[in-house]
Order: sequence, then C-alpha cells, then structure tokens
Amino acid sequence: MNDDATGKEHVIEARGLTMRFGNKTVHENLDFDISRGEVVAIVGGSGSGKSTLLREMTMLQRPTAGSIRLFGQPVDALNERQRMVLRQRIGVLFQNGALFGGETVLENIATPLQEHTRLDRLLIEELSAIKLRLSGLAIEDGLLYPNQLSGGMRKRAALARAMALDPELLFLDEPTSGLDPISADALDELVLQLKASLGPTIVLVTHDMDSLWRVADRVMLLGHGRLLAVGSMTELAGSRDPLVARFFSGPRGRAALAAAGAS
Amino acid sequence: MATTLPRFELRSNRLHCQGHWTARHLASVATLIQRQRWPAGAIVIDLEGVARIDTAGAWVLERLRRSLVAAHHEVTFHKPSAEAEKLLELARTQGAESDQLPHGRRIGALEALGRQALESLRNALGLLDFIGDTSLAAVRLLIHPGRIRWREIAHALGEAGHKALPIVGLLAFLLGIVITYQGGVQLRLYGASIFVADLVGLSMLRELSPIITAIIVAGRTGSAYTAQIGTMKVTEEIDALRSIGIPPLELLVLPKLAALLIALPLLTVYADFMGVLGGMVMANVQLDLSYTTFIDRLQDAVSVKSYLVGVGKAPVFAVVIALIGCYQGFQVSGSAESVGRRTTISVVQSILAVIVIDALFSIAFSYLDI
Repeated sequence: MNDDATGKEHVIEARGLTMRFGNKTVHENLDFDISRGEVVAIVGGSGSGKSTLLREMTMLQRPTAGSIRLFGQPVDALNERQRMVLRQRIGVLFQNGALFGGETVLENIATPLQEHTRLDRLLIEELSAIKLRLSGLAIEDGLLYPNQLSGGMRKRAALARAMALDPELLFLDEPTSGLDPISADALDELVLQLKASLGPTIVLVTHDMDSLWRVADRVMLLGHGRLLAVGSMTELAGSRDPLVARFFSGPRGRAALAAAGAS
Repeated sequence: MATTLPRFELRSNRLHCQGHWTARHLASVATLIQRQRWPAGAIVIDLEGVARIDTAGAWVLERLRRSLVAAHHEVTFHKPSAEAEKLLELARTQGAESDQLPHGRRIGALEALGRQALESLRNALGLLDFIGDTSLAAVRLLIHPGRIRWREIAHALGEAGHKALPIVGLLAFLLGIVITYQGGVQLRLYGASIFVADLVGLSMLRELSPIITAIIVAGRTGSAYTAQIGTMKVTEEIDALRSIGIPPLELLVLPKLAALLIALPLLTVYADFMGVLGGMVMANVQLDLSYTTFIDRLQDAVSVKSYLVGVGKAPVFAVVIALIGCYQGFQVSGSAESVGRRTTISVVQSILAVIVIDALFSIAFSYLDI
C-alpha cells in the first residue's frame, strides 16, 4: 500500500479531484490523503461541495476528473464486483439516517449482515443487538420502526447500521445536524466511543464547531472550489488567512473555542 | 490480500484458534464450534494464531465462553491481541443470546382477520368523513366563488385530460378493431355483416368506452393524486399549507375533483369516437363495408339515449376516482414506503369501485327500461 514518509498507511488518497455539474465547478484539483485511524472533518460553507466530496469518496458519484484510491486501490479501475467488496469495508451514516422505512431498527442493522455474510439468523440477530446497544439504544428500541424514532435515536440507529460489518472506514454526513445540544454532545461522545472500541478511520462532514473540537484530529476546510486549509483545530483557529479566520473566528467559532479551552 | 479462513482445533484442554475470525468467513465455524464436545475441567481458548478478529468473531467466542461457564468449565482466553481484547470486552458487556432478546409478538390468523376487518371499517368511515369534509368545502367555495382556484383547475385539467388523450384514444381504437374483428366473423356467417355497426356502436358507447376510460384515468390520474398528496404529507407540506392558512382541501382536492369532472366525460366522448372509428376501419378492411354504409347503419342503430347513458356515467366515475385518490393520499403516514402502499390501494379501490358502480348502473337501467 501507499505509505508516506511517516510510514502511515493511507486509507484514502485523492489526486487532482475535480467535480463539475454542467459549467458549474464544485471543486477543482483537490489533493489530500487520509491515514488509517484518523478522524478527519470536512468543513465549509453551505454549497462548498462537502457532501459531493463525500459522495465521491463513498463511490456514489464519479468525479469529473482526478482519481481516488481507497485502501490503496484505484476506484476508477475497479469493476462492479470489486467495488462491492470494497463497499463492505466502508460504512456510511447519511444525513437523515436513510433507515429503511419498512423494517424495524434491528432488521435495518441486520441487513448488511444478511447480504454479505452467511451467518445464521440467530447469530445475526445477536450481532445486530450488540451494535444496537453499542450505539446507545435500548434493546426494546430495536423493535420500533424508523418513523417511531426521535431524531437522535434515528441517527444512532443509522450509525449502528453503518457499523454492522465493522467497517474500516466510516463516513458520517453531518452526524449532529438537527439534534439538540445534549443529543449532539452525546452523539460526539458515541463517535469517540466507537472509535475507541472498533477503531475505524472516520471522515465526517459537519458544521458543528463543538464537534470539530471534540472529535476531529484534522480538519479540511473547503471553499471556493479548493482546500483552503488543512490542519488540527488549534492550527486552523490560529490561522491568519482571512478566509480561514472568517470561518473559525465567528461568534460560534469563538464560543466553541472557549468551551474547548474550558474543558 | 489473502484471507485465511478461521479454524479451530481442540487439543487436550486447549482450543487453538487461527485465521481471520471476521463476519464474512465465520459462518461454518460458528456452527461447528457449538457442536464441539468438551473434556471436563478448565478450558483455555488460545487466540495466539488469530490474525484478525471483528465483533462477530469476538461474539462467537464470548458466546462459547458463556456456554462453557454454564456447563461448569473454567475458561480463560490465552494471548488475545490488544484488538481482540477490546472486542471481547465489548462482546462481554453488550452481547446477549437471542433467547434473551425481546421479539415482536406474532399475530395469529384470527387476530389478523379481526385487525383487517377493523381496518376496513375505519377506512370506510374515514372515506365517509372525507366525502363530508370535501362537500362542505365545495359548498363554501360555491358561496364565495372568488376563491375558486382556476389556475389549479386548468393545470389539473391538462394533466388528467389533455395528456391522457393519446393512450385513451389508442386503447379505444384498438378495442373497436377487436370487437369488429371478433363479431364480424360470426355475423358474416349469417350474412348479417352490416349489423357490426350495431355491435360496435352500442357496446362502445353504452359500456366499454366509459369503463375503459375510467379505468385508465384511475390508473394514471387517481394514482398520481395519491402519490402527490401523500408525498406532501410526508414532507409536511400539508401542515405548512394549514399553518399558512390555506385549506388543503380547497387547494389540493377541489381543483382535482373539478378537473376530473370536466375531463372524464370529454375523454369518454373521445373514446366513443375513436372506438367507433376503429370498428369502421376494421369493417371496411375485413367485411368490405364502405364507410358510408357503416355510418348510415350507425345512425339507425345507436340512439342519442345510448350515447347519453354512456357519457352520463362518466361524472360519477370521476367523483369516485378523485375522492378515493385524494383520500388515500391523506392517509399516508410517516415514510415513503407508505406512499407506495397507499397508491396501490388507491388504484385497486377506484378500479373496483368503477366496475361495481357500472354494474349497479346496468341493473338500474334495466329496471328503468332505458
């Protein structure tokens, strides 16, 4: 695999990544690496192409130009079968959960296991229950249908499904959006806990300044179709670049900084 | 990356585990390990040879440990990797055997029947309620005609009427051809080819074109009404309309109802025309009946009454289709899946209703001697 000088394995490598819709350029010539075990946050204003970038990395959308390597394999060059194998090593938490409405929470979590393993029904049920409890839901909640869940519970259930196959790489699309501050804090906590117990590499898209301070090892700021800055929160918050400073030193950024400093 | 399948081997009191204990490869091992017979005394589970492990592997081992402990063995894990240790801990604290998990209650046949009956009753009462609400809204609108939404009506008219012309026309035309072809063969045997005009004219105008048009409209427009209103319900647009102060019935239901009341009779007339045209063309090709002969005979055979009887059914069908379609749309709750289910129900119910009502009309007409 492609190791850099530090000897760390790169889970994601993007080179010259460009995305255009018609003549509107979402981003152009992005180069970045994400190493195994990192928690990387992608931030940027609305419409800066964060979610598009996430869709490209999760093989849901083809970039207009450039290449992405996942686990060292060039995604473009793979056939559909090889992509399927690759997808099993990836978990995605969609913004609104995207739980299947016709299935209970437990059945939702069991779906990847049923599709990709030949484990028997009881074992799958037990494994789904482990993931359910790991995501902080009670076993009884497993029998509920998605439309009976609150926003926070839905995100937790969706996270449990994303973790069903113990993915090595986990993508989270705005995990704390639409949650009250307490649930949002709890979800950050959960992400850290999952990280500690199952050790996936995590890529998250977020607007939430508090989340950034708590969970992200490294932050990539997108804007004007390119990467404006990459670095730890402490580095970015101290940046003198006006574009970066504007993003992190608004009232919300300062409040989050104060909170992070206090804790 | 070469994967090595998970393996285990029991030597005296030591279970040697090897390979990748991950969900994808675990199936056979998970079953085999439960069938293993164990010697008495302490058991050591040796994890030194395990190259990789995930939650599934850890849980299979933890489950094994629990069953051995329950059978009075002493169990220790030997040399788990740091990763394995974390996952075993996770399995120990979060895992539960399936018989300890809660399961949904199974519903028996009798209970299912009862629930279904109640559901049907609720559905019928709900529809009645909806008809009442819609009627009241219609009356209110007639008192204040300034609030009639002409733009919505025109739009719905285009969707339900104008855009249905090709399919309705094609189907009626083909139907006319088929009837003439099937009937013509028989009639020619008796030298009564000319009566094919009676056959096509009466059957199309009285029965077939009203019902076939209604069925097509139920399938393409009734379903669209359900899906549109249902989706708006899921995305809370209906609630948004209410909160802005626009009655959803007035904006969403009445214009559709009005449009269908206009469109369906017109479509039926169009279907009458196309059906007879189909018959006429086929009679000319197959039976050598000239167009003028056919039209002459048609005028004698088909009275204005037969035509009006057919077209007169159309407004009734229109009301039924629009009301069922809109009602089922409002019954959508929660998820996108519910939209699909309600759309199916709406189409099935409205087609069924159209056919039943048509049968009732036939009975009524024969009593009244029309």
